[in-house]
Amino acid sequence: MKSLTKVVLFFSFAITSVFPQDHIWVITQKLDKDFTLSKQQVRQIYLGINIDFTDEVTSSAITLSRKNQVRSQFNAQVIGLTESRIQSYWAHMRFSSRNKPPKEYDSVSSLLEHIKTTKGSIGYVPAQTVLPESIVVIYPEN
Amino acid sequence: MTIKTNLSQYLAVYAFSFILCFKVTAQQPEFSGFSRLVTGATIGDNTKYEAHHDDFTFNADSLIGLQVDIDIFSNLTATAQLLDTLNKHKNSGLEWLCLNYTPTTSTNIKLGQLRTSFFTYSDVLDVGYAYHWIKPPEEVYASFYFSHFDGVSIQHNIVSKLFTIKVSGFYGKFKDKVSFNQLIFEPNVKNFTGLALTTEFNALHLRAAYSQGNVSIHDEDLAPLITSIQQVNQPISVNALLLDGKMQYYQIGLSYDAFDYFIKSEWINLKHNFHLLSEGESFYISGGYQYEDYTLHLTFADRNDEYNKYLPILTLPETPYFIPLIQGYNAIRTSLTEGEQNSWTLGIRWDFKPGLALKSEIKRIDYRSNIQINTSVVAFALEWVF
Repeated sequence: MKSLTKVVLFFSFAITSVFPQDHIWVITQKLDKDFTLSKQQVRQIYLGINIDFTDEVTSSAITLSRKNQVRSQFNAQVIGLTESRIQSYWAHMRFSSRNKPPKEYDSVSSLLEHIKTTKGSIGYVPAQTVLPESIVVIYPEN
Repeated sequence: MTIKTNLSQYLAVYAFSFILCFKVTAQQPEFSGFSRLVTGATIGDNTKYEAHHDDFTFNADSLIGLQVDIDIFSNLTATAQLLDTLNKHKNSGLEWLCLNYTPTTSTNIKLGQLRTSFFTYSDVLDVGYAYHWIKPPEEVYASFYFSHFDGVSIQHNIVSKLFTIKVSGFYGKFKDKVSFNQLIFEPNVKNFTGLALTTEFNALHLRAAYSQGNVSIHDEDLAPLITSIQQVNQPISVNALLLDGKMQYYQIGLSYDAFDYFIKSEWINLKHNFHLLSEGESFYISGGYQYEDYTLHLTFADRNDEYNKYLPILTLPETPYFIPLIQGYNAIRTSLTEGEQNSWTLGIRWDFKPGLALKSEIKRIDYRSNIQINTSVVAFALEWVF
């Protein structure tokens, strides 16, 4: 899986101009206010710092389980760290009582189901995934 | 295991009574933990380094920790962390016991017995899984510091499209044992305050921190000498022997975490008013490259200890009556020697299963003072988080 991740990362740099940042979509439930997130913001949310989308809705990251290859793509393309270093990071956060890692879902469909029913919840899916009408792409920014 | 301070006991009772009051809304406790099995030995000679001799033992750094987190409300949690270790220089018992309140998305307040955060890894030194070394560089991390304090801390985060800024501050006190230069002290630290600023721009992280405290150490071994010098009216020397004053820590950390490689460095400076403890600067620079599940890393660390305040000379006549006193005092003066240490560490970490890592490293240490020590240490560790 790690080799696959490196290949994905290599091509994400090598062919950026042809397919700009389109391997992964970060998604959330549609809100009254339109907004997009930068890579820096998505990274921070996935490393435990939430932000307010509206006065009532706060971001809350969920992720796919480690056996899912989309997670490796997301780690490489957006977080920019390998799975083991992300796990080290979460050991630091958890045992210094700062943050806990995002809740994991086994499949894209179960992740989508959670986002459909939970305002502020954000997740990621392979780009070009057919999304329900109530879900919007918030990264990459167009 | 013992709970170390009365305040901690009060807080423990308070926190868990509070949780029981709201047990209807509180979630189930969430248990997690960490463990490390570490062994090491000096090679090539019989020199002892830290707790390592020329034979492999597991006592020095092996430990187990257990943490329980309870969500009381959506913005209020309670955390307790217990630690058990065989290292006699380290306390077993309660490391954390705090209430964690998040009034807004960007602000977090902690109250209780908290881990100190002098340096980047200070708050997770016991969690070996959180860093790539078996032991973070002693040149920086074996400074005069303590692992926890009783008090309050606050952190505020600012997340923009381009960068993130984290500002944190704390206030509290500490009274417990501290190991420094292979000696055990029991300082009473009051007005322990600090401020840390962290900025993150993609893979680049910069951390600057300042901590200070009013430190008072009563040394039983020194007490008879101090009393004797008091009796012969040498107030300047008496004051110089007292361990009572302000201690200040400065830290700058810079790191770059790319996908499969990293560079990390920290520089620290310790300043204080004590004549009997050394001051000085330390730094390390560490780089690593990850291939598949293996991380190969190399670290250089350096530390300069110096005494900026020399013990004054006793102005007593060298009569038979005073000679034992003068000799005892001068023995302390001559024992305060400045030194410089640097080390190279080459290591490998293998993340062979989620939550499990094997590490191995070899360290070459050069210490120069009135004596010169060159030694090498080889170490192995199994790190586990669960």
